[in-house]
Amino acid sequence: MPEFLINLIIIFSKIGVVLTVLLTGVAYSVYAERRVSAFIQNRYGPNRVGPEGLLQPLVDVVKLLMKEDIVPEKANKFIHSLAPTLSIIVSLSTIAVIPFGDTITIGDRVIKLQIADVNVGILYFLAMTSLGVYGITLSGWSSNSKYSLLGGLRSSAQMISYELSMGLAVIAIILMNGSLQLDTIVQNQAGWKWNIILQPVGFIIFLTAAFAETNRAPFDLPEAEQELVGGYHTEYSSMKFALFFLAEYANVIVSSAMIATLYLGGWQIPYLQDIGLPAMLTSILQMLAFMSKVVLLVLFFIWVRWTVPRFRYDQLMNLGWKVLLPLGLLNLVVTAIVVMFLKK
Amino acid sequence: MIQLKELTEVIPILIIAFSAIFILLIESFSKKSEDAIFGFSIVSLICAIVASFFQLNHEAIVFNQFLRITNSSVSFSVIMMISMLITIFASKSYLEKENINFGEYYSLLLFSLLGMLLMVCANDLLIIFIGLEIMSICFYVLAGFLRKRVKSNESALKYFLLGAFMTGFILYGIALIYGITGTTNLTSIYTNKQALKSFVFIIGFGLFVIGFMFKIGVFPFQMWIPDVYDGAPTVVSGMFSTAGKIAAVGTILPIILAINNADFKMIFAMAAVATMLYGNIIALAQTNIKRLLAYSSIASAGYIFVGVAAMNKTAMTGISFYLIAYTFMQLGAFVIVSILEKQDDGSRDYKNVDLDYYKGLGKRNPWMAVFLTVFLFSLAGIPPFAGFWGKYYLFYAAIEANMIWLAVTGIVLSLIGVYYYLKVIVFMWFFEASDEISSEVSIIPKAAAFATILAVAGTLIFGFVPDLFFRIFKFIV
Amino acid sequence: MKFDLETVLFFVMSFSAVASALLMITRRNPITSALYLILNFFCVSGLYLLLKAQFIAIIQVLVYMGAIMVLFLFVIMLLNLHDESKFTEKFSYKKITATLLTILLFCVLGFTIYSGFAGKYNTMSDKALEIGKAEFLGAELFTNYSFPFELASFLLLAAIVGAVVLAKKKFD
Repeated sequence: MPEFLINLIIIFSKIGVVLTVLLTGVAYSVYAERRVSAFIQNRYGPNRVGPEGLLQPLVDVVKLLMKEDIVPEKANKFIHSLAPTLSIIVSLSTIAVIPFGDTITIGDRVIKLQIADVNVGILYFLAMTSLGVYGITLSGWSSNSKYSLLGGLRSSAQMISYELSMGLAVIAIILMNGSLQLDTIVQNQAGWKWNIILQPVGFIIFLTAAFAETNRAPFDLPEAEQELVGGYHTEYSSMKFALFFLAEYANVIVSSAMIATLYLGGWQIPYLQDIGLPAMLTSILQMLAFMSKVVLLVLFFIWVRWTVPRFRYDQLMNLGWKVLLPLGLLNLVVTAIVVMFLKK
Repeated sequence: MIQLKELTEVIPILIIAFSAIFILLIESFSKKSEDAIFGFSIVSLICAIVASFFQLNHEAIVFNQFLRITNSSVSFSVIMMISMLITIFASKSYLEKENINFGEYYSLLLFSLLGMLLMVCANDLLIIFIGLEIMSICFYVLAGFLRKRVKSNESALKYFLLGAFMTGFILYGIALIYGITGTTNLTSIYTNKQALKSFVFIIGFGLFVIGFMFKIGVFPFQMWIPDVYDGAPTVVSGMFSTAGKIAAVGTILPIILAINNADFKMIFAMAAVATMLYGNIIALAQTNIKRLLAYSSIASAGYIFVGVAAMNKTAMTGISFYLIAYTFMQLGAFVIVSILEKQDDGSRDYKNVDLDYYKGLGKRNPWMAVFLTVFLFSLAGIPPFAGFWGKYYLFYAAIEANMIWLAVTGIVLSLIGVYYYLKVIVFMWFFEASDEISSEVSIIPKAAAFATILAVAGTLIFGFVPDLFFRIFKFIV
Repeated sequence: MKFDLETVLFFVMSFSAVASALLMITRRNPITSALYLILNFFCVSGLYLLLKAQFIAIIQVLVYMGAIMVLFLFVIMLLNLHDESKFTEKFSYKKITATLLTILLFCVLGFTIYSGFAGKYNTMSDKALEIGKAEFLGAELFTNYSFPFELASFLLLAAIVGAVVLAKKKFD
């Protein structure tokens, strides 16, 4: 087989596997959300379909697919359909730069466990998050409904505001690593040197901003039911609604993966390399470590959603501009000074 | 990298930059700080002017060849700083009158001055562009500073839209120049004789010059000037028409002279004639003093371009002399208009800027009338005021460059201009005001009066002793 | 000319960039126009990628698509702009002059670029990949170009001050 073809197969299989895992993850995080919320609220949650309700996601998908697709009469039809597609494309394509393991050796071929190792990985992630605004804003506008529009506008304001703090937190990391490549950043977190220890303030800023960027509680103002009915997706039904739903959870998973990569050592298990296990086993263990970190973070996202009340809009803006942004700048300056002295 | 030693070469620029930022800090950390800011900006400007004189007579290329300090750049800088100084003196009472006395105003003035200084000192197209943008952005805001006045908003919007569009021309020009020479450094561009002759360079340079012709207000890019100067706060209009133009002339003139492409001579000469014609003819029909001064500034741009078309050494000295004379007389006239303007009474338009208001000014307010007469005589080019010598040197440069027809046209057209300047003077001294106007008492604030006196002094000193200027700035072009 | 993936991508990207630019100025609905502008930015960033300028490409996406155009959309939505009405007069003196001048400018620029650069830059420099990297740009910005870099911060500061002055409430 020609080299070119093999590479193509490897790339496509990587994409296939990652997307499958991600989408399954999305389906089961919806299930997890329902079960955990039920647990927190002392209910049962979905437990009828399959053992412990594990087949529930499947049934949900079927239900959503069978529903009637309603487009409001005065909506802009094209943009109305474009918006959910944009949302899902953006959230799925972010996963491309996240390294989910070190390298794996099959035969004599060393395969990097990352779809695309671009040298501006972090910027790619930031760019994609900033594009995520479009799906929401456009859906809000094209529905021709005041609730949707308000939801859309709120979310764009919110996402733009928190992107800054997120960027500042990330810049501190870039300063420490001297690289925009996610793989390098993970490699540098070997041993105890996880960034959560080196960059505790940055971690908190990034985590908070990630909540805001994904429009999750306590920052879920774009879809605040009390004021906005359903927010930007009030006028959506059937599969288009499902796409938004999918995008939200995909965003949660991707953000968790990003937090894990940037702050929790990515696929690193401290001192695993020193033990001297077989290479294959190490790789698999590392992948599992990465996945479990992501799962824990997703559970954290869910936990926060069902325990912390929603912010008011002005509180949200105050937090973003008057607390996180100055904090991020301070963190950046301190990091820069420390890095400069360490280099000398 | 920036060396500490190099910083000493650009002390005036540093003073301006840091005081612009410092004003913001004063503004935000103290209440009722307007007087302090006013004083601080004047002190820093005077320091910067004094520091500029220490830069004379030694050429310095600093910051990795991005800046080049020469005598001509210093002279342009000093003229602009003087213009800014007079503007700031005149601004205080004007801002109080209009209830817009905010510290940010002074900060924006100094920021725009920073941009201008960078432009005239630049040795790199990149710096010219950044300086131009710093200047222009401050100008857009300053033009719209009187937010409740519809005209001020209109002025800001028009200036912004057209200015941004013209920035595109400049950038396209820079892109083409960079494409053919492979550098943005002006020194390297000048030495690349082969590229200077190429078609791409000529087009690129043409686009670049068009952008600056817009900023100077040369025909056919002068349409924005009357509306913008009419709508902007009066002191700001005065600053636009002096410092803003000087910055653009001071940037483009050394480049035109260094490239010295004879193909452009004729184009500039035609532009100069058209500009003088347009400015002087249309000004005849004006009834609003701000618009009249705006058209007069278009005509002045035409005179300046007579010098640019001559492209010789005399032109350089002539233009810089004309610019300093022009700064005093034009800005002085604007300052007087701003003093006489009616206090803000909640109306959405400027009051007391019609020519009718100037009827009988000689009786109501003799000093202001005398001063305005001096400025207008000087603008008309009547000896022994500074404006006469300015025009004299410019037309002399044209004759020296064998463009006698251009000089003759210029003289004829500036004679037409005498009419509308004299009209105002006649209004002031030989007409009676209506009862309504003559009962009005206008208070003349001290700082603004001082600004006027400064301008008059300049007009007179450079009128009687034109040599003084050349003794201070010995030119090495 | 070689017929490889990059050439194909180049034509696809440039064609869609030009097409989206044309669509952007011809659409009557401002939102649609804005969307085509976003598409145009996307295509241009693709062209940067083909030139091996990864950093610029991603910054194009981040800044233009992710920040500036969001604000554009935001403003258009808040203003609730309606479709542009068509010019009532079919042929006006202004329109003809504007069209002619635009065509002239286009021809001059086209000819300039053709005459000056045709056949000159056919191969990509070996250093292209190196230059496109963030590390290289960063090093240049903080050494050779530190002065303009600092000036740019002044520009931004002045712009911020200006925006605040124009927007703050204590006027009137």
